[in-house]
Amino acid sequence: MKIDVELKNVTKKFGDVVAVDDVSLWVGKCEFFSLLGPSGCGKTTTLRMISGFEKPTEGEVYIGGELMTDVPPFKRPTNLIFQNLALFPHLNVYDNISFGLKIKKLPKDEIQRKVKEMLNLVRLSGYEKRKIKQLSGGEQQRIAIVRALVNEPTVLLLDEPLGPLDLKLREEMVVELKRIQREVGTTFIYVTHDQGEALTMSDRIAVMKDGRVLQIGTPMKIYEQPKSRFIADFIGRSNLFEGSCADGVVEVDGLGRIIAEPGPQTSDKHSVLICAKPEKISIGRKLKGLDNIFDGEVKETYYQGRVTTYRVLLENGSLITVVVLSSGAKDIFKPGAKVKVGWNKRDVNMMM
Amino acid sequence: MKDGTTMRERVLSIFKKMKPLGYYWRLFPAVFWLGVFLVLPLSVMLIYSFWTMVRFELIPTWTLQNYLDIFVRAEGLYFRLLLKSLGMAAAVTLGAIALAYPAAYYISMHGGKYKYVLLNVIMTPFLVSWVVLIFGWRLVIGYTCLLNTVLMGAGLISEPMRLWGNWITVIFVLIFSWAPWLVLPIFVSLEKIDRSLLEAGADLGASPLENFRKITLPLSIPGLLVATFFVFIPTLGEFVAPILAGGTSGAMIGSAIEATFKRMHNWPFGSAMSFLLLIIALIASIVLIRKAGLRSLMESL
Ligand SMILES: Nc1ncnc2c1ncn2[C@@H]1O[C@H](COP(=O)(O)OP(=O)(O)OP(=O)(O)O)[C@@H](O)[C@H]1O
Ligand SMILES: [Mg+2]
Repeated sequence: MKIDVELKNVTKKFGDVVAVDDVSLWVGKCEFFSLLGPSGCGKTTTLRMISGFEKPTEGEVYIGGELMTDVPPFKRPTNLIFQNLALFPHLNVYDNISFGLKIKKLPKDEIQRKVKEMLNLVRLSGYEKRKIKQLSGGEQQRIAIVRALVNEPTVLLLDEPLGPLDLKLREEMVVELKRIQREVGTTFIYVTHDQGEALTMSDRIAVMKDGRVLQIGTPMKIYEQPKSRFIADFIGRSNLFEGSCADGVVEVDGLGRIIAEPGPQTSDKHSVLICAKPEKISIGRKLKGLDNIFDGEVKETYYQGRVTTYRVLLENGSLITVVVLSSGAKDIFKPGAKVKVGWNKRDVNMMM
Repeated sequence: MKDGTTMRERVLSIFKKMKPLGYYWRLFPAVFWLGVFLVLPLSVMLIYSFWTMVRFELIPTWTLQNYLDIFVRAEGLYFRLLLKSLGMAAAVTLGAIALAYPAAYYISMHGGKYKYVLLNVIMTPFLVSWVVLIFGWRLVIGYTCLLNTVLMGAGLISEPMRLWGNWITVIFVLIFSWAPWLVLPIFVSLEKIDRSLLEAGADLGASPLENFRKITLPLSIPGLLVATFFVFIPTLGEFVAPILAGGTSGAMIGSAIEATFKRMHNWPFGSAMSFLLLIIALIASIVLIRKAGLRSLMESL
């Protein structure tokens, strides 16, 4: 894949605060790349360094193979959709969208054609003359997206563009954004603290915490093989077991042995963390043919329509979460029911 | 009716929009205040403007002659003074804004944590009476004063320049006495501009200059209208600066009104001129308020 944006050992300090700490990553051409992390982890700062509003304290930013250190924001081939949108209140929708094109001195009829196209794309045709104040939050959001997109940037940077929207609109916009990205084929760098959004849309995700990148990978990889306890917890709920491992067998206090896939180092005894995603665990009165089976007691049952979630108490006193498809289950276990839970060794993930 | 409503419907809708009578009692203090301090003296003035003065005696003749006189008396001298005053007030307004805008812009955009210190440094010294300032300027640019002395000493000019005592001097001193005050309303309107808008402009490819022209300037227009309001209207009736710094060519309509009242003792004619000026000021205020909005006007007070 051709590399479009690359950060090399980028650090940003604001006084004593280290907002971004030695981040290195690359984003491929036409890739949908997400920066995912909790509030204050440095996502906005990273985007602002790519778009040129902040200078890295250390390290370099490359766009299209060119070093960007001395290139001011207005000369970069990027466009940013601001966390607070930053639409121009004194201009109407048409003038907002055409702002960048007018700066580039495109012919008037071409500007008109492009603005029309963009408004069609976000299904807001006929809104040209509206003032920004006369738009709903979701409409403003879409205008902010096309105001950036119409310039056909090499890289589109999106800073939590769906943050202030209600759930239904968010879901619609997620689909719409992905559609836009497919249609125009721009590189998207998408910032969010919502794991659902990131998993749905991204080709790859970088998980950040305290200014550092913890893991970069496809949504599947990040979800199923998290590299640390933080990621396992942050992305989907995980059941975690601490134990000591030797030769693919993990000894967990009070629970007994867990058979796992042999990790890279198997000979020495060392402490590990086992992560089992709730939907990978089976539950039943009797279980057969699984590598690991334990006794438990259902403590809480939540019927949620499509799925049912159980909280099951194991013998070592730990409470695990199990999610099963409601349609496939024979019956629903009530709290107090004695059950067995289990999983195959390849369905869990072992971390050092 | 162009929007298709009938007269009857319009009148009815006005009645519907009216609040119960008790509501208007809340306005009583304001109305009382205006009544005593504004309407009373102005009413007396309005009445006088229709009378005549013969041998220092006011005679209630109820005539429009005083208003006609503004245009015809002394071959239209008073009317020309009025036009000249409008022009001078416009020049003072533009000049003062041109001086205040860069200062306000610099403080707002680059003042950092010293913004308010800088603002005070710029404005506080001008709390001294501006009459004192006019005398100060006289000491600098007057006939035998600092500037001329220095330039002659340096051999750049052979005899002192007559910089003091004409209409340009009046505009000059008024610009300098108003400019510091305009920094505040312009600063306020610049402060209100969301800085991320400027980043958005840069992100879309606008150079700093284009950003200023397309974002900062249009968004600071309310501040400019407020500034215009504060300078243009008082300057229109200005009579102190013309007396102190204007000589004969610096006279304004305010000087004429003052002379008419005090030296010619022609109160009716003076009243008529005052009233015309008041109406012009009123129209200007209404236009400015409608453009700027009353709120932004009050906010920068
Ligand atoms: N201009 C600044 N001056 C000082 N500290 C800053 C500045 N900008 C950001 N920070 C700090 O840097 C850290 C990262 O901020 P950043 O805005 O990048 O977080 P974020 O991941 O975008 O968070 P959120 O999800 O809340 O938007 C925070 O601790 C923040 O307080
Ligand atoms: Mg942020």
